[in-house]
This record gives sequence, C-alpha cells and structure tokens, in this order.
Amino acid sequence: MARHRWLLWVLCLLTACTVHATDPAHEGRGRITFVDSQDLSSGRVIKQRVDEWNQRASRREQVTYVPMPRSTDAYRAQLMARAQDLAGARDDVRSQCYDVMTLDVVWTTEFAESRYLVPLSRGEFGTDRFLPAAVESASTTDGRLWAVPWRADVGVLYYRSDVLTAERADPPSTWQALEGMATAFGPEYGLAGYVGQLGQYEGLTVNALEAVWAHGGDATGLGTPQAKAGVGMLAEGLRKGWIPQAVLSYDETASLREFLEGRALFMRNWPYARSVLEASPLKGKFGMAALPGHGALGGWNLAVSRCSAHQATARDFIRFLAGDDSQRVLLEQAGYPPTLRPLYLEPDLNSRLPHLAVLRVAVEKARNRPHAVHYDKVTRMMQGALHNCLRNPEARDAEMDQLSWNVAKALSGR
Amino acid sequence: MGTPRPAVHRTMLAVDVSGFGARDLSQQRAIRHGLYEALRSAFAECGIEWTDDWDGTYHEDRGDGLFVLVPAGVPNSRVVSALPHALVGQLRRYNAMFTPQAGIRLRAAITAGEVLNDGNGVMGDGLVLAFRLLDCEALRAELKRRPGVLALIVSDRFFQDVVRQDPGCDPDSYRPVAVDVKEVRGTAWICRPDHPRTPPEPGRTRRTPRFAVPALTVLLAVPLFCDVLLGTPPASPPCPDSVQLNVLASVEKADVVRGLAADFEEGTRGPDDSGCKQVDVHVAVGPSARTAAVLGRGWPDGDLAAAGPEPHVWLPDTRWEVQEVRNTLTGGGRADVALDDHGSIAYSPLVLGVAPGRAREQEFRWRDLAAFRPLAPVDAGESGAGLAAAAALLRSELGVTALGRTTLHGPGVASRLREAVLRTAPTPTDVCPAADRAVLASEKAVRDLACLKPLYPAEGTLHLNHPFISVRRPARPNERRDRVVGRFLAHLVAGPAQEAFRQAGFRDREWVPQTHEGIRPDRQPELAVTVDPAAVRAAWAAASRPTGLVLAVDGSERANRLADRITGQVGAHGEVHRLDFSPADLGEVVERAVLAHGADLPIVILSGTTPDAAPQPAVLAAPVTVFSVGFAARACSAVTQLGAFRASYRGDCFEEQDVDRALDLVANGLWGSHG
Repeated sequence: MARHRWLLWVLCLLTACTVHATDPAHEGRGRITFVDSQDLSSGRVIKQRVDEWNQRASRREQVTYVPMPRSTDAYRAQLMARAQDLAGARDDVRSQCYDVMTLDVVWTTEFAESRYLVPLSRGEFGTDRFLPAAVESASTTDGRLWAVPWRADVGVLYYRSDVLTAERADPPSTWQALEGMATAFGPEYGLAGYVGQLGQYEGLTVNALEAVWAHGGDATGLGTPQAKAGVGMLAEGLRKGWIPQAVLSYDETASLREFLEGRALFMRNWPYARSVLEASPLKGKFGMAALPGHGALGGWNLAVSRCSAHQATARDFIRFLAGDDSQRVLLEQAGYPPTLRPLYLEPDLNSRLPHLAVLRVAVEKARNRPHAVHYDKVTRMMQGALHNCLRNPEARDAEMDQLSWNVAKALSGR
Repeated sequence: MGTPRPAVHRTMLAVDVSGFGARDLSQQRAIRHGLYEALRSAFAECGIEWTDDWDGTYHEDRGDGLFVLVPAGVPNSRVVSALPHALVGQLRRYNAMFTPQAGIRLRAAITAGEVLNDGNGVMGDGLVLAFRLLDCEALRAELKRRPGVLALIVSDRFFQDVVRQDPGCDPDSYRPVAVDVKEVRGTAWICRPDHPRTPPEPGRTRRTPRFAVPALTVLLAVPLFCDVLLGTPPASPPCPDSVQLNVLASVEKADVVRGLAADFEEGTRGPDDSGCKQVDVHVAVGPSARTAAVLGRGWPDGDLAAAGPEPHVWLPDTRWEVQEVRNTLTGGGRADVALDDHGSIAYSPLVLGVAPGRAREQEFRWRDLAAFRPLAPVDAGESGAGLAAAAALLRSELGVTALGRTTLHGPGVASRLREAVLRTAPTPTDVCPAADRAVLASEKAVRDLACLKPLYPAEGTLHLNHPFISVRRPARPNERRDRVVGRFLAHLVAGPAQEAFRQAGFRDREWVPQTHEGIRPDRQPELAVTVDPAAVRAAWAAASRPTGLVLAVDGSERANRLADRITGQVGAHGEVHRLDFSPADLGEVVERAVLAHGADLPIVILSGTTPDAAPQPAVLAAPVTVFSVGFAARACSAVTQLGAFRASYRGDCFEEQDVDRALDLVANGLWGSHG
C-alpha cells in the first residue's frame, strides 16, 4: 500500500508540473483590431501594409486598422482605459479588444507588468535577428518576451557638410571634438554651434541621457561623477554659448527649423529629419552621422493584448508587419529605420539608400531609457531636475544627487 | 488611517505569499497583482463583492500579503469551504502562465473575532491570532513538504464552532497542529484544499515529540532576533497598477482641472511618501461642438485619432451641451453610452467686459448692447461659454425665449441674425492691453483679461453651470473606475478644490466668488431661455460667414436703396464689389462678375426690369452662386433672364417690390442656416 501511495504521489507531481491550463484564445483565429499612433508617413504606408494583409488573408481574418491620437499621453490614456475595461471581461465584450497594439518602447514593460499583454515565444519570432536593444525594450527582467520590435528610432547627429568640407574636418566622433568645431567654426560662419532638444519634456530626458552615456554614466547612477560630467558638458555649452540659450525651450520641430534655415552647425535629432532636410534648400549641404557616444533608442513594438480572442491571427499579423518585406517597404517608402539587423547589411538597400550605413552604426549602438513601470513619473522627475541643472549650473551637484535617489526609488516600483 | 469604527465581530482571512521576499522586484509586482486578481475573482465566485469599505470586504495590504474582513452575513461555512476552493482554482489559473519559480503559493488563515478601527488602524484579537497562525512553523512546513498552491489554517475555536459542525466543510481533512508563536499557544487545524489529506488509519495517530514546542519557540525566535540585529528595513513591495481615468474638460476649466487632477492623483497615494499612486488621470480639452458630435456617436474608435481618448468624466461649461448629447443618443437609438449628471462643480455668469472708462455703472441692459460695439468675435462651436455668448446675442436681437430650429430659421430671421453678428468684430485680436473692444464672456474669462472690468446685465444673464458628467458604458462596466470617478467628484467638491476654483475666477457651488475688484458677490438672476446648441451653432456660423460679394445694380432707385442695405449687412465682415449695368446688358452680368472677381464670390443682382432670357451663353464651368431680386411682377419666371440665371446657377431668384422684405430674402440666402 505504501509503495503504491508513493507512485501516486510521483504521478500527481508530474501531472501538476506538466499539464498547463491553455486558454483557447491562444489558438483563436478571426477578425482583429490593430491600433497604432496616427500614420503621418507620406503615402500612408502603414495603411497600405494593412490593406496588403487584408487582400491576402481569408475573409475571417481581416484586420481593422484604428489610428490613435497623435499625442503620446492621449494614445497611452486610451490604450490603458480600454485594456482596463476589458481585463476579465465577458466574451461578448472581447470584440472591443485592441488585439494588436503598437506600444512605445518605453511603455512596453508597463503594459506587460500590468498583465495586459500575452507573452510571446522568442523562437517563434526569431528574436536573434532583431536589434538587441529593441528586444530588451520588449522584455522583462525574468527574460520573457512581451512584444516584437517593429520600428526603430535613434538619436543621430546632423552637421553642415559644406562647412566641414571647407574646413577639411570629418564629422566629430567625440563630444570634445564637437565642442571644438562648434566653438571654432560657428562664429566664423555665423552659425550657432549645436542645437538639440533641451526643453522641459521627454526630449530633455533623451538628450541628457545621451550626454550622460557618452561620459560613461548611466540612468541608474545619476549621482556619479560621470553622469554629472555629462550634464555638466551641456550646461557648460550653454554658458559658453556654443549651445544657444534658446535651446532650453526647443523641441524636435524648433531645433529642426533652426538647422533647416541654415542657422546651426550641428543638430541632434531623429532620422525623420533627414527626409525633411532632403526636401529643403539645405539639400546637399548637410550630412548625418552617429552621435558621439550612444544614441537613445526610440521606436515602437507590436504586442498581443490579453483580451484578444484571436491570438493566433494576431501573432501571424505581427509576423507579417515585423517581417522582412514590410520592414523593407517601411524603410524605403516612409523612412522608418528597421528593427531587423540583416536589413541594414543588404547590398541592394544600401546602394539605394546611402544613409543606411550611418543608421546602422547608430542603431547598433543605441541604448534604452530606464525600464520603469511608471516611466512617465521617472521622466517627469528627471526633466524637472535636469532643466534646473542646465539653467542653474551651481545647483547641479545637489540636484543630481537628489535626482539619483528619487529615480532609484521610482525604479524600485514606488 | 481611516475612520474610527466601533468593535464588531467579523470573520477574517489573512494570506501570505510563500517565499515573497526571495523574488526580485518585478516578480513581486506581478505576484501582488496576481494575488489581488485571484482574491477578487475567488470572492466573486462565492458571491461576495470585492469592495473597499468597512462593511464590505475591507482589506489592508501587508506587503507580502494582506488580510480581508468578510462582510457580515456571509455564512462561515462558505468562507471555509467554497472560498478556499475558488481561490485554489484562481491561483492555478495564474500559475499556469508562469514557471514554477514565478508562481504563487499561499498560506492562509481564517479566524473570527472582534475588530475595530481606532483611527490609526485596524486592531483586534482575531486579527492578531490570524497573523500568528499565518507565521507558525507548522503551516510553513506544510507548504514546503507537499505540493499545491494553498495551505489553510484555522483557529481551534473556529474549527470547533464552524468546521466540526458542518460535514460540508470536510472536518476530516483537517489535522491538528500545535502552535506556539509569541502570545499564542495551543492547537490549530491545517487543511490542504487542493490536496486533501486521507484520513489516518486507526491506530496510527501522529504524536508530536515533546521537544517540539520549545524547539519551535527557539526556531521562531532566531530569525526575529536576527532581523532586529541586522536592522534591515523591510523591502518596499512594488506598486499595483493604477486605474486610468480620462477627463475631458472645457477650455476655460482646463488649467484648474489639470492642477486638481494632479492633486487628486497624489492624494491617492498611501499615507507616507512611499505609498502607491492608485489613479492615473489624463486631462484632455476639446471644442464643444466636436465633443458633442463624437459623444453622440458613442465615441467610436474611428474618432479617436481626431478627438482624443474616450472620456470617463466630462466637464462641459453648460448643461445644454449635455442635453444635446442625450438627445443625439436617444435619437440614434444608442444605449452604449450613458451620461450621469452629478451636479455642478462651479458656476460662472455671462458678463460683458468693457474698458474701465466706457461705463460708469456696473450694470448694462441687454437692449443697449449695441452701444458697446465692437464686441470681440464669438465662436459658438469652441466652448459652452461661446455658445452662451452667441445665445445671449441672438436672444437680445430676436427677443425670443426659445432658441431652436423654428425660431432661428426663415427669411425674417436671417437678416436679424446678421445684425447680431455685425455687433462683433470680424477678426480676433488680443483684447488687452488695447481694450478697444468689449467681450461677452464668462465672468472668469473677463476677470482673466485684466484690462477690462465686468458689467452685469440688469435683467439677468445666462449661467454657465459647469456640471460633472460621468460617462459610462453599460456594456463594459468597470467598478474600480466607477469608484475612482466617485472619489474624483468628491475631491472636486471638497473645500480645497472649491477654493482653487474660486481663485481661478469661478464661483463655487454656492455661487460664492473670490473677493476681487469689480466682481459682484451676489448671485445673478438667470434669464429664462431654452437653447438648442446645434441650432444655435449652425445659425451663428451661417450668419458669421465672411462674405465678400459682387453687387450688380441696374441703376434704378429701388435697386440702389436695396444695394445700400445689403452693403450695410455685409459690414466690416466682407467686401462688396459694386458692378453697375444697364438693363440691356443683364444677360452678361454674371460673366462680367466672374471675369472681374472670380467664381467664388456670390453675385447679387438687383434689377427693376424683366427682359427675356438672352440666348444662353455657355454655362460657366465652376459652380457660381447668384441671388437675383426682380422688382417687377413675374420677374423670376422661366422665360426671363433672372429665371434663366436661377435655372443655370446655384442661388435663387426673388420677386419682391418691398425693399425690407427683399433684404430679408437676400440675407436668408447669404447668411441663413439651411436645414
């Protein structure tokens, strides 16, 4: 009797460990809703991709594309509201689920940890072909994957190629070199040295982190000398004047305008600016290079909502959108940097798009902003402190020490 | 923390996640979330609603676990039999998504006793006992020894009074254990709901060794001492996710509401600085005409990109807008959106802001409004305040108490609506510091324009009553959010928020304003007027059309008089191009006008004669609008030139001898709202 009881226990243990309660929605197929921030690309390339899918897919598996508000806060507010309404909802309500959601790289963790997403298999999506930093933005610390990287974005450096050629200088690979050129050539050509995004908003967090990283610091150690040196460099630049004071209120549009209208030597911005500059009088007079140091990774990931009743279709659609063909189209027709590493090496694409090589260097070096469930709180904290550091350089040490402590607390989940 | 409550006898459940401290923070976060979800669902399965109030499932967090008071009236047998089983099911569902290391295994204790809240927290013997039982070694060992997700322990008293008496609670599945934790010594009973124990064969009773109790004490004492010696503070557990609340506010209230929303968010944190924010508020602003239209459609996904996220709280300026949406919803047969009016959060009367030198008194009469022209332009679609200003102007011009489709349509009305519009300036400019125009707006807006002082209408005015509207979707109920909406409302009507409204220039719910120079503290009487927002907006927009036009006059005396009147009605809001023609050239007038001024301007032809239609020239390609007035009888019949114009182009032809009536007809064509 005792022997049999032991066997029974072993069997129970084995069953408990191996039998999983599978959710039928995991293999469900049917109509799905796909949401993304409003498609502002010329030619509405994303809508085209959806139409392409709908043509090829069966009538049962059609995709409805719903563009969302442009403002990041508004987009996120809608996603959260809908996800919360549908958490644990009855089946008949699940049709209102946003099956496939496009999530900013800084929100993916938050949605994952609030359990609004379905974990995805790395093998099924071939994550080793994607940019490691992008995959990291879609994963949680326990190693699970919650989204597939789709569009990448990274900070890059724009420069006046006509000026640098005349001075026989190569684009700077260090901030020191950049400062040197800005102070030497700027006044000579009547140009502001450097413009970036130092207004008190997300752009400041990004620009400041890029400076911090370039000096060997990190977001988790903002009180270290390296981090302070990074921020100090920007503050010094403002004080010395090769970064105009006006930059303290600039966003992407304002800094691009300065550079486009020929008033700046260097500009930090995102890849989208390149096509705008190509269509401007500055065509042929500007170049794009990787930032000295690491650029910040931006971009969007594709995730499957937990409320989805048709997750198999959702996964197939994600595979289609993030696949080689779609990413190629998005790159060529809309200028969105791909998240698939092999695409950057394709000779065909490189010959048609000469800037692809620069983009490749930039994205491979890109780093993520801090992983935080309440990222918006962390970034607001940083924006306030950093803006003060730049306006009042004497306050820098105290501000950054305090900020470091606040950020550590916020990152631990408070 | 909390309101003091007298002692009551309640049953309580305390739970503790096994091995919580050993996980990393992101796992802890996920576990806490899963635990709350599992408890909520398990209670729901047993027919007990999960609420936060004392009489319901009052619960308090303990970092790695929590305790819940069971509402009075729930039979104890359900608590000890159905609930643990439901909980096991929920935990298993959760654990199925994770690796075994990331799953939840729970220790649970059920006791009954007196609990009270002394204002600083909850206390009571039953609670102390529950936590001691939770911590006892026997329970911990039970979970370690055998697999499963839940180990339950009940006090001896509970076992004797409840479990033993009811076979449905399966008393044989419990085994007694000795407990000695701090001040608690005695027996308790452990059960494994997911792994029921086989009853012991007779004759094989387990006997606890004699040294077990002192050994237990020593073992329990050591970690407690170690904690104290090392002085490690307890690790702060991560925060559960916050409820998303979307607020849609009118333009005037945007700033003060944003500030109050931020305060509200902060206020939902726990008592100390490291508390968790429970609510995430997003405040959006939108033009009232668009909001009314999109809400009337049920705020569909297709409108999100243009109109913003779906609102849960709507804070318009006036109740007219709410009624408008309700009418649209019922008219469309929609029940997917429900609006609930929770009363006003503030008030603001409509006043006239003028430069300090322009009026000696603090009052004016509506009929004297013309003396203050020009007024700043009024936009009836931007906000409820703009709508109220337009309504006030229309009311004073037309002298009616109901502004709706019937009173705002028709030939007699259009030219008078135009007169109302002509009181306002054609283009918006900064009112201050020039103070060269008067502003008909809310008292708050006028106060913000520091260079103007408010004049109050003697006979009464329109009120902006700032209602708090909750927007619900009956098909997708979200009780957590409904409770948050209630808390937000309570926040907005509480003292500090009302003070903020007063400081921003509004009147609070009692109509009390902040003391400020020029502001009359008394409540203004309300004008009796019913407003149909859609009709008012349409009428105002039509009457405000900036019209340039071509005025073709044949030189007759009547035509000249009418031409002057029409020019007067175009006023500063457009340009009039005069084109004189002789009666013989009537056929070419349209061509000449288009050649000289393009096809976009409407052409008004005033003719005293009635020549027959000339052989038709080629009809112009671009759509041209032509209004003709013929002073002779049958001037517009099909064979005449004017009749031919009517047939070939947009616009109309009027046979009218009286100049006043002719003006009405032309005005209706140019500035009337049609349909």
